[in-house]
Amino acid sequence: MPVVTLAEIDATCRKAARGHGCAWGMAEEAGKSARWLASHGLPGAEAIADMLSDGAQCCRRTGRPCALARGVALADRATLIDAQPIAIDTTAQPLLILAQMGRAADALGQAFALEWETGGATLAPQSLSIRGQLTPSAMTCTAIDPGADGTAPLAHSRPVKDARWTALTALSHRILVPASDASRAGAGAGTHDSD
Amino acid sequence: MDTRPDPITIVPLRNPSEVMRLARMGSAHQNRLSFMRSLLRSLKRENWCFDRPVWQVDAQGVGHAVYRAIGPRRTYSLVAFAHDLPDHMRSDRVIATAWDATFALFDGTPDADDIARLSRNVPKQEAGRISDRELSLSRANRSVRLWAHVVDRLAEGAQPDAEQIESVGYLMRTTAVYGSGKFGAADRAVLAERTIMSAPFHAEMLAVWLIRSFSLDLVEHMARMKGGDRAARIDPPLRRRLGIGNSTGLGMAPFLVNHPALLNAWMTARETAIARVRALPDATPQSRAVFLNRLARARENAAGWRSEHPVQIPKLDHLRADLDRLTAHIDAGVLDQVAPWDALVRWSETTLSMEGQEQLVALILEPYGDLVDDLISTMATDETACFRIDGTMSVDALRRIIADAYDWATRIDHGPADACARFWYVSEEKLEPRLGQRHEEPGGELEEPLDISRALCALDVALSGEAGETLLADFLLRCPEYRHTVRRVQIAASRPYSEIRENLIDATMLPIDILRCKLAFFGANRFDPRSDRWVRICLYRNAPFPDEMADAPEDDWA
Repeated sequence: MPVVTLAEIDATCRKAARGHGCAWGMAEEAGKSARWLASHGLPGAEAIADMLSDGAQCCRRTGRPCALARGVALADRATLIDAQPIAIDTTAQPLLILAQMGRAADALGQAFALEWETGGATLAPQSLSIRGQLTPSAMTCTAIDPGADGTAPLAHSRPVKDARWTALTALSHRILVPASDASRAGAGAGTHDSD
Repeated sequence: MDTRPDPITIVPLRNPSEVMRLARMGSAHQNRLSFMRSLLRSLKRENWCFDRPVWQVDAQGVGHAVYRAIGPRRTYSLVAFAHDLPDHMRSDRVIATAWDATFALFDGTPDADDIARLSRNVPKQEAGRISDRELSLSRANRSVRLWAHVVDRLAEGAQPDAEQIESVGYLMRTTAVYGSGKFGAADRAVLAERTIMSAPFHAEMLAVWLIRSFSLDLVEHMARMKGGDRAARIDPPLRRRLGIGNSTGLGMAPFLVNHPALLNAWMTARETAIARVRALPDATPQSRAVFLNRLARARENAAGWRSEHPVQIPKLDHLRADLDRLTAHIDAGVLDQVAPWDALVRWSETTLSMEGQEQLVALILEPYGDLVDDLISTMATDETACFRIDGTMSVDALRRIIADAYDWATRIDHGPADACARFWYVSEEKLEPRLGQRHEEPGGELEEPLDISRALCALDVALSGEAGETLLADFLLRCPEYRHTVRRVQIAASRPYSEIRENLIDATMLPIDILRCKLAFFGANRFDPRSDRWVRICLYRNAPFPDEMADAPEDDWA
């Protein structure tokens, strides 16, 4: 498995999402979410790869929000969330809901709880704790007082599953423009440089 | 961001509508807050030590060496690989595949296994892979002309010609210096909690400073191999005049656009420093002495600054004339009046060219380290905190921000062909940012989102069809294509220096202006544009070498 940095996870997922056809602003959310998950030891790049490879849930085709869009819509309203549970429909990549609310927790200095049928998660600033198995299911989200039982993110590099990384890289290459003589001219020094 | 006025400041910061224009950004000069200078100040203040525990280079100049910087808490090591590169393969282009020397900055002291691992990867650069034990990856080529001259002279026991050293300025020229998680190097977050390395680009600047030492050691080694016992070492004053060259291409330009909060932090720090000095009621004799000394250095720098680029030649002529005028104005007693630095800056705004004005605001900071150096701590910024979109903001509120912070953008008509002549993209060939001609080349549909002003206009039009009380969260759920631009607007709301206030896809836009601004923040000088999109510069010219740091006065070289 390739060992990659958080910056590479962010950049590759952002470009892959764009290559898939997501708007730039959504692609940025994909990158940052994958990075956040990886920093907490969770398979963020894999979740983005799975979402992008599953045409059946692509919001541009179905007209219904994908896991990323659902998480983004929730996090955009994070400051309106209180003790009253907000219901979140089942998504194929519930990790992406965690990522969005975890990033909202970091940015706002606020804690949130996500609950699902077989477990739950506490998302506090720079802290995450998960109970039980995370499987595709309906969730609820509430704002809570931050506890002290979570683990902090770590910035070191980490492995990503081969096939998923290959798929993300292939998607990311869709935004590249083939070279032309015109594009090479003037971008840098001449090909021979002896002065 | 904290938007309260700086407590020391009573003179307002210069207006973003003037500061954030490319003509001015493209006239920026290094100053006390430049990263090279803040790095060397920190190394000096913390009494860092330096050594070269490994030197295994053969008679052909092939081998490796290790240079260590040892601080109170951490050690960093430059691992340098010297190669025997045939002349015909030498290219500064990022697309090159072989170099005279390649480098990694290692976190700690590397052991034999680390060096063996790096020797298999670092010489390949982008085709290799480093790990998060490394902080940067870089390469350099010799200046063939000066290299041969210096080796020949030293081998004969003579000193190199001072004029030749002056005209080139460096023995080696770096190209890309990769850090921040690229090609496997440690993520920026790894460095965020470290005292010295948390400042922007300090890891990269440390690598480049140590590469400069390596370039001198290697040239003296080659002279010894050629001349044996006869060979001389370079006299220290001459050695000091050698910096490290760098070729910077388009690839660096999108950085400032893609990091609006960071750009705002850098600009705000510099502008705050300028305003603090302008607010001073008088100039003490000691401050005047430092200023006049640095002014003399600026004149010397301008006199030796060469460029053949049609844009830069007249700028240099203006700068030299400006510095003469400035000197005469000071001789006439301008510093005797109340608030002398403010008076000087005001005078410059109606008298000097952009080059001269920006040189002056850099120079007035020189006497006032105690007043401005603390601003370095504000130049790193947590971009994750401002990345979040506040979807509870109303469409009306966003419109008000646009009217306030983006009037420069919404005034631009992007309809004419010239106003949207370019598109920024990433090349398949080398995964590098490039600039295409929209009306002549294919690939426009794969454009990177650097068309800031045009995207702002599109957002403005889209918002005009929305009810004012609509929440952005609802608008963006329906129209995710505006999400990137809405994020920028929310970032800009409290960060007045976050946007370059120009149409970045206009036919007349000069990427070298963006490069110049960023490189001045690094601390570069002798900017020599070689086209409208790449520039040669010199780094660390006149800076002390590691073995001189203990005795060198603090920050008295630039």
